[in-house]
Amino acid sequence: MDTQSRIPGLRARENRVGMRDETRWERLDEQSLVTRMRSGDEEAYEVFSQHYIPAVYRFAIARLDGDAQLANDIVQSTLCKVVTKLGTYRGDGPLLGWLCACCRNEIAMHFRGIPREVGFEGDGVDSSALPAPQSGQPDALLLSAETSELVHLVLDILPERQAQVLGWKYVDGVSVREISLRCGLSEKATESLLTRARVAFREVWASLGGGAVPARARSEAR
Amino acid sequence: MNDERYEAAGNVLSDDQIGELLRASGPRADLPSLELAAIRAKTCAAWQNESRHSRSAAKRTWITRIAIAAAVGGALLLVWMLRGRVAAPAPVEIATVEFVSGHVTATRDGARTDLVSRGDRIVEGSTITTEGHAARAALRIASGVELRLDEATKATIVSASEFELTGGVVYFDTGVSAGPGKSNGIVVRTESGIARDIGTRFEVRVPDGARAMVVRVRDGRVSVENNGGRHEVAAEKELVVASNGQVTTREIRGWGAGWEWILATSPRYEIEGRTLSEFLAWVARETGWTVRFSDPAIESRARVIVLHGTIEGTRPDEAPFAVLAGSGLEGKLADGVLEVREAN
Repeated sequence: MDTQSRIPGLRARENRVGMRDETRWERLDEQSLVTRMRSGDEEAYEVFSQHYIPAVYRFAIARLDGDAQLANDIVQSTLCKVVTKLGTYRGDGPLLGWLCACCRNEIAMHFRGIPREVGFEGDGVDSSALPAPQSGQPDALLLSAETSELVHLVLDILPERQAQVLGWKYVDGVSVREISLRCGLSEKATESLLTRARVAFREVWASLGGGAVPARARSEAR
Repeated sequence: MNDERYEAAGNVLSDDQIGELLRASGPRADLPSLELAAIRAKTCAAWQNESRHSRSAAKRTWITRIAIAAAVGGALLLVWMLRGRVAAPAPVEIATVEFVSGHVTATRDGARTDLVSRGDRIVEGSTITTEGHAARAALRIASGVELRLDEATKATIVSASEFELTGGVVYFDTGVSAGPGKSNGIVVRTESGIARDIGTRFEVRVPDGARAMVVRVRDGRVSVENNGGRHEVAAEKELVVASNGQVTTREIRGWGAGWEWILATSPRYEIEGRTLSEFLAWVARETGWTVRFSDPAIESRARVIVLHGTIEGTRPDEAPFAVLAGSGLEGKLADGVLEVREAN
């Protein structure tokens, strides 16, 4: 939906289902994304900014009892250091895992009050910083805050359009027909979008260490 | 894409499992768009600064390799040519002009350069002087810090973190915060004392002809040292070191007429491709206003409205009204609070 501005030379466009562009979705090659950022590629930075910064913020605020001001300071401080240390990311683990490890260190430094640099060196990747899904404990599945958090982090990383249609379909229970109306797409195109969204969710989930959900959990979830 | 292969794989999520996970996890909490926009802006500034630095370093490395190769063939000749001469180290570029109006000069080692346009570069150790009516400048220091100079100001950029203010007014927006409770390392020396930042935005003024110093803090905190004493100035406070050394503080507002000259030196802001949220975060930073939304739904919309065009020629306190109108919204300003609401 395009809304023309009421002043010359200015127009605003409202994207119905989100601003993150599917065409710039490059999570699958995070090493390449980081390399391009290091070379000053603005498009790569934009992908990083749109897909990873919200996830890091969500990760931080969940560990700071919802203290938004502190989360702002810590995420800002983490990311400003991260962008100067991109060379230490080796690409042998998820970028979000590395970012969350850096953020976790920054939080720890804040509470310890130790005025020194966080450890961006080392092996560069620490997936253990990410919340661990409790796939082996079906009883805990519905209650696991960590599983929910990981699901939400995955949605943060997905293109907003895909994350939103997944939310409509599975969280809100909206029909494909209704989603197609909201998106301004045909039902066939909406089905295709949902398929792409599930594929992307599955890949990101797996890359962040999520596993399959046991059958018992599935039946309990129903 | 065919989902069947994933279901057959056994150790990956099926479509049903994805649905179950999403249902069990419930809706995502909305993240605060203005804060995220501010974080994005600061991270972007840090990234751009790092990229510039990396490119310069890479270039220097390449040039060094060529120089070494050349030296292998002509070392003796070079030594002979340079004997008795010691080349002075090349001056280091320390800042870039982001905004300039009126007559502004940079002087170093007696050589004076007029700063005339955005992108002009300034070397370390330069003294910047704004001369005459409406002469003002905004500079981006290599560290990412933004320095603004009001009319009739003379300040020396000793290094990326150290500045000497001889007269006039300077304003710092460190942009990249060092984190909670930590200093960004900015030091401003005046005849009357030293101001050190413990925050992000502040102004230091040396009144004309007076051996005095005024520090106003818009955001964060600043530490001021004079005569062996140390005083902390919090946000929306002003500290005055009088000519006789007496120190007084008072409350001020972070917005309004007292910061008028900051608006007049605001570097060009490109709205093309930015979201309305990002734009409003910039407006809040420049004006000191608090931005509020009349309705959470409008805040959500602001996150997905992508702006196009330009606001060149409009000040940060004028631009939001035009931009909001172009987005089907309107802004109402009262007591430093800009309320964004549906247009009537």
